[in-house]
Amino acid sequence: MEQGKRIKKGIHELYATDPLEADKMLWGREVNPFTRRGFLKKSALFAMSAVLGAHIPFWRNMPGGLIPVVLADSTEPFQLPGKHPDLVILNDRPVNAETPAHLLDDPITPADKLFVRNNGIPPQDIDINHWTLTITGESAKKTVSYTLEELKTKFKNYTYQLTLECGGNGRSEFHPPAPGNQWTVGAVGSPEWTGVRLGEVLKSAGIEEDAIYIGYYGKDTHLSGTPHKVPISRGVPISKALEPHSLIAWAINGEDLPLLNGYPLRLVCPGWPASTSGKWLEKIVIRNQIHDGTKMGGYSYRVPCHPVAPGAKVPEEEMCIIESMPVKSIITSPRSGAMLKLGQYLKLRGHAWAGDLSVSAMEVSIDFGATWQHCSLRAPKNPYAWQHWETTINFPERGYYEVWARATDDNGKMQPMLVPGWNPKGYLNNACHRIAVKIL
Amino acid sequence: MKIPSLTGGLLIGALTLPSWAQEEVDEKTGLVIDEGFEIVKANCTGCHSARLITQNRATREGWKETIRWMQRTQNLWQFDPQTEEAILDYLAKHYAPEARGRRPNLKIEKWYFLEGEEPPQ
Repeated sequence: MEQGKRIKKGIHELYATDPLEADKMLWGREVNPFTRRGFLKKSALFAMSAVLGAHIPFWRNMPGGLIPVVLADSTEPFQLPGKHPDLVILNDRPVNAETPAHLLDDPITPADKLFVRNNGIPPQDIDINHWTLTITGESAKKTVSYTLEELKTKFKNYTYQLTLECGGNGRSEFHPPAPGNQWTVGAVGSPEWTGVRLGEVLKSAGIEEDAIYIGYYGKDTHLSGTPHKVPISRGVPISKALEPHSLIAWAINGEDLPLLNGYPLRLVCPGWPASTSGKWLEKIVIRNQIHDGTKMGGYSYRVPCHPVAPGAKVPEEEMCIIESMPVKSIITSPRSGAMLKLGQYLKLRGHAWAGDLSVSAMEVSIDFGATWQHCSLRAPKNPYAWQHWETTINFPERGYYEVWARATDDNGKMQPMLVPGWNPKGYLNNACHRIAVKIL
Repeated sequence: MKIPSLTGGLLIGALTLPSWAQEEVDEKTGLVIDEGFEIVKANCTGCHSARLITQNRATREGWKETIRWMQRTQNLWQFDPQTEEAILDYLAKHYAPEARGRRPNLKIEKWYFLEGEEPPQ
């Protein structure tokens, strides 16, 4: 079990490097520096017990920083708190995990199946009664702060289904390889978010005429442990921030955000690289220049302004910030590897999305793109929700097939069958998704 | 390099396996155990997971650029030339790009039987 081994290494490594930090990060377990005894909050105890599959009777005596022996000796997949056990963990510090395509079958992505892309360490000891959001910056008319309660009650609440996709989703297929987490297809999800409109909150501070951008700051901490070093601080043009579907959200599908997805508060700027949707949100700045926070410059979340050859050296000034994500689709059922008898028909379904646009057509091919069959495609629940498609296909003879899925956006752009334009950091691979099927 | 014992049948298969399959791997980090392993472990896994090394592939020049980026932006310390050479030798040897086409073949985790639909009447 490659996956089991990989995950086992993850937890060992985590504990080998800094056991007390690992305890805090995974379980929220604080350690008393004198007795070295772990202090578990009720929620942390619950998370740990859930992973172990058993109640821990002597948890009060369990030393802090001790890897639970059941996990240490087990090759069972290790689970992230609040997350589905079959998420594939790409990295454990920072935590990065993607969702296998067949687990994205739900029309609305459940919170435990939403991918995790963290840049730093999530904040500890979150006190939601004292959590505040501050709006400031050189183009804010005044600085204002709201508690969570004030945000929820002073502004109108909205719930929308909004698709978020990591800018590096699909990176693993680029060649020459691009550095970073090697995402395959599952760094995407489309849950229902509840929050207030970002634009309304910005307007409550007053937006100066010269405002062109916003930037966010979260409470996560830098991997190096350096205090005040910001792991990530990105943003969007003011026009995107003022769109009705750009939210400051505190809930997924009616429940608190999972800690790893930004609890208790985050931005959701749908259709753009998910890195613009800052987590553990505590400050937004209204800027009179393009925001210059961490990961806004250089090669981060930028692609060459003009197409380049694979492996090309691209000067920094030739790199442009990614805005809307490209058209894309996935096959969520069946799971790759299905074997059917000749003569049987195969039901296929999945989702399609297109950044700021919507999807106008969906097709599948079983002959490597030689011919395509139209699928039925539903309208999105609201702008920025992914769209569901389905179709039934049959196969002419026994053998190995690949089912390819291709979406077209309402500007007429289609997903490519090959990996599209190479870029230094491996962003925006929207090549069509493929699954394998055998007919016996 | 230690080659794990393989049966005759497997040995033929091993010729087509990727290079890492024949290498001894450290249980805790997943890094290949070879000259330079300890230096890489000591200098790299203090700040980030070894998974950021083992899931990536780059040329010697590419790894060097990654180190420079970490020094510029991530508080990575400066290495003496000998240490840096050892790190780059190790990374370039064990985590180099593999030759590959524009789209690799699908990897199928497992085949399973699926009851299809009957043809429409």
